[in-house]
Amino acid sequence: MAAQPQQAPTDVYGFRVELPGPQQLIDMQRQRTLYALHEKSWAKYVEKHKLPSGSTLKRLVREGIPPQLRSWVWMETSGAREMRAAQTPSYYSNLLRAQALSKSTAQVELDLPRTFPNHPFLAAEEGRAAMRRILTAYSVHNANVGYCQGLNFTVGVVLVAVGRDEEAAFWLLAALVERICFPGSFGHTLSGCHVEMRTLQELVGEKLPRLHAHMARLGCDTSLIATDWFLTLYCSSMPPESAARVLDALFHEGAKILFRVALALLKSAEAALLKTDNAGDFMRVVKDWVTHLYNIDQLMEVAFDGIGSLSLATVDAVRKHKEAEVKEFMQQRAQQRAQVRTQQSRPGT
Amino acid sequence: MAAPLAELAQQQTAKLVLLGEMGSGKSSLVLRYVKGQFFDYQASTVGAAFLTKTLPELNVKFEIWDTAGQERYHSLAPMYYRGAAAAIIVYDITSPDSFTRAKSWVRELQRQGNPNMIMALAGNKADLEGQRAVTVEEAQAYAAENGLFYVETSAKTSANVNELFEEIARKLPKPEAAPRPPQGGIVLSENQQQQPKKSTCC
Repeated sequence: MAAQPQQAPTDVYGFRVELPGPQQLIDMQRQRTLYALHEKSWAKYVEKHKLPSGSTLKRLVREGIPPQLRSWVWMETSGAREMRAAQTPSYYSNLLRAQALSKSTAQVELDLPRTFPNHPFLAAEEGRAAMRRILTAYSVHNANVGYCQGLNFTVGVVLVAVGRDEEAAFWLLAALVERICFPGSFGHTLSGCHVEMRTLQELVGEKLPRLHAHMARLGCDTSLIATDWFLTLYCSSMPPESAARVLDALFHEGAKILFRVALALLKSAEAALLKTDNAGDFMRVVKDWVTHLYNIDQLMEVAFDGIGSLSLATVDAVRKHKEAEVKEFMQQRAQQRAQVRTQQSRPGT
Repeated sequence: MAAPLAELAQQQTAKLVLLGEMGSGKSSLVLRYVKGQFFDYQASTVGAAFLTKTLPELNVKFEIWDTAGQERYHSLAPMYYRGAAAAIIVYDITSPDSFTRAKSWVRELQRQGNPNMIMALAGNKADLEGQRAVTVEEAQAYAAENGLFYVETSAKTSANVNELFEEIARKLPKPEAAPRPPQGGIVLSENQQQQPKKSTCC
């Protein structure tokens, strides 16, 4: 192929990619050939417009959904289609008419130009307007969450991946926040995210004990590296095309996938991470690895086959234990903040 | 120039955290300082970003934690400011709300942070003079009252950005002069290093 020095390389969704070396380009091109293979496996289901059942569906989804089928399959597997069907057909347009009720307008507005500012659609007025409508409508639909910074990236990736079908993206967001992710993950105190981070820390101890001990020595808490993984569902952490692959499995199998992927990321980089001798270098190695992760196929193999069993029951048992810790932490914080506020409101200070 | 001494001394690593209202320009300040770049629309930060910068002439290596500004991310902040040697509290000179928020960060650090932490108050977006809503006098008075180092910056024009970080580096307690902490006999730093072993984070 002739070199095109003027044009920055992009992924299948038009997101600009950063290729630090030839290997990443090879990895990316390899994904393309896999899509073609997967399309063949999906062909008969597309024809009947009916998803395969049970274990076949799980296997095909884990292998990766071909990009043009994502909208359909995601809506089905996530429960988003059901959520939409449970409301009146005009529910979304009614939310749009009620946008004035949103308390998040200013925050959404602030983040729109800061969401994939290099993407040809999302950075253009049309894309921003669509994201604005989705995020604002969602803040009205679910006032307990409102707008959580980070969801802008998820919405951006989802919107592009579903062929700009705004209403589908809205319901997929609803499914993620309300059905798939741990409750409170995106709420006003992010308490659910705290629970997930502590749960991950424990799972790292169980699955990757050497790395866990090394991290403890460096004082490198799991939440320092994984907060954005869970709050954007990898959409701001990995190349978006790779994140879409995580979403494939997340929509179908639920939030334990977030842990599987996190553990796979750490396991795959373990050798390099064990060589670091301070928290800063540790962070840098993780970040470089995740930012340039184009061989998502290999990572997902590790996620599914390389870390052993990880059932929802196991995750839930750890979560339950951590929830109590987080509740106590949140109460302490609320007290401290209340003290700070009383001090501030005192005249003369 | 303290060059000969500095050469002998081991490089000092200092954890530095940026806190402040959403959209006040924390990431832009860091990016301007570390990479000399500025983008009108810098991707919003989720969780926190981590960058490092070495100042060879002062023998300091900054490990910079650039945090997310949205109110709900506040509960994650202790994890980033715990053990920090310095903090930059950023507000936007065109936004009184961001100044109020900055004050609440100062309070929190005064109560919860390392008592020897060097705190700087940065009034960012100083290039937007025409839209100014927080006066220099007001910020200066507040900074003086609370013992903060205060400066107005512009990540866009780079005004005062290097100066801000360099001044913090200069204010750091020098390790070569103090194998033990400078004041008092309590070996605070060693205690702090042991803490992460317990996983009672944030």
